Amino acid sequence: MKEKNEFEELDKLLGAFPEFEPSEKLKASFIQQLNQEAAPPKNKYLNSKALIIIGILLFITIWGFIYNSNLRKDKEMQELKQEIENTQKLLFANLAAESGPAQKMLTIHQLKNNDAGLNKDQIESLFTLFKNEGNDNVKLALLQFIGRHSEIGLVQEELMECLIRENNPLVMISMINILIEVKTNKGMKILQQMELKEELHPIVKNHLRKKLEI
Amino acid sequence: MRKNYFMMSLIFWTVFITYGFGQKSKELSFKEKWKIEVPDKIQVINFIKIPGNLKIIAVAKRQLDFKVFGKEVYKLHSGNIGKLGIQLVKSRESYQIIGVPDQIYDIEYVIEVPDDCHLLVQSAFPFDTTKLEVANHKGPITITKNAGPIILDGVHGPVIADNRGGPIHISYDNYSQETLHSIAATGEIKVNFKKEIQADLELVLLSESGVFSNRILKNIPHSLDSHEGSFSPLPEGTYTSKINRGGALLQIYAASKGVYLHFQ
Repeated sequence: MKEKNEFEELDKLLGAFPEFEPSEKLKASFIQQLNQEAAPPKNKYLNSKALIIIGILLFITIWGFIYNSNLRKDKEMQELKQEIENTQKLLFANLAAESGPAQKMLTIHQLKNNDAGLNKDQIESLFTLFKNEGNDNVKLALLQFIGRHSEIGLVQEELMECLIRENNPLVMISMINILIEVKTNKGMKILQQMELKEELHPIVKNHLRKKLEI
Repeated sequence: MRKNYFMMSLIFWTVFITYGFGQKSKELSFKEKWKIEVPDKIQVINFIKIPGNLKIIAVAKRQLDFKVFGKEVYKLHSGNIGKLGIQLVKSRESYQIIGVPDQIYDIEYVIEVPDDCHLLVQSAFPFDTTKLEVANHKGPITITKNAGPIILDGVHGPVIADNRGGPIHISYDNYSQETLHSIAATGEIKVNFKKEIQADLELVLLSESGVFSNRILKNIPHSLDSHEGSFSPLPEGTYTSKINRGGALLQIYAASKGVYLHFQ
């Protein structure tokens, strides 16, 4: 009982002191801080918007750069193509003028490195050279170059015509390889008829038989 | 009627006698010799259709020296073709030595030529199985042959050789960098080089073929230089490789009989 009274007295004693309330300034500061944390910061929002704009600008800049560089590359490619075409024209002129087989073969080798496609006149001039050429090494070199353009109809036609007249087995095999690769109906028919010929060189016959089996 | 018989008989005997005299054969005892001075301006010596085995030996002299050896009776047909079965045609810059290959005989021509001239040999008559040998030549060589072996020994080149029906064996004493070299054969191709040779090799296999070498050839998966044992043939295609950082182009066109590249 005595303890209870002591406790009540102590309580009364404590209640005699006034309770301190937090200052209004602190309260306002706390509320302001609370509001700031609850709402997204105004400057952060502005930063991400700027980032988007910067990103778009950067994208446009890079795209422009790539577009320009592609344009430049296209132009360079066009110039290079033109240069190759001019070199090829020059080489064709040289080829017609050369007399020795070594010089012809060198020119053909250079043609292989400056190949800008073939037009009708060039195909015809190549085959005229082929038909009149006496050296078989030159013919083989010519076929290496011509073979790159075997998808052209005129090339196939000329090849078939030359194959019938040819009698060097190596040159014939080289021509057969090109015609087998393109596999046109007419070409295959000629090869099949050729295989039946008795007088065909055994090396050619053997090669042709193997090729037709595949 | 009688007159007609007489005329026909006259024509018959005229033709018979003319033909008989024309075909009259002479028996020649071989060893013939023929020596010719070659002026400096002559830079090309061209052998065309020589009717027999031909051995050309290059010497450091400006002369053509012919020796002919034969065992069989050599029929000499009418015409101004000389006793050797060959004609010499001189022009401003070249000598042409033209054979008369109406039959193929067991004859061997041994001919000395200047070692710096351009040597051209065209055998191109059908069924030619004779042997062609060239030794010690330092100038350009261009050869076209229908069959029979081509053997070039101790040459410099540039060599352009084609054999439609036989092998080509070449032994380079020095590999000329003057221009490209090109070798094409239906038979086997054997090339011996000095180990220090510099060349851009372009190997064109027109059909599946074995490739042998005693040295590693970059980009060409060849087999070891051996005739024995198993090997993997390479499929047809074009293979390129640089030998000792590259040099004059060497094109080799081969069929199925194998390519042997030996470095010594």
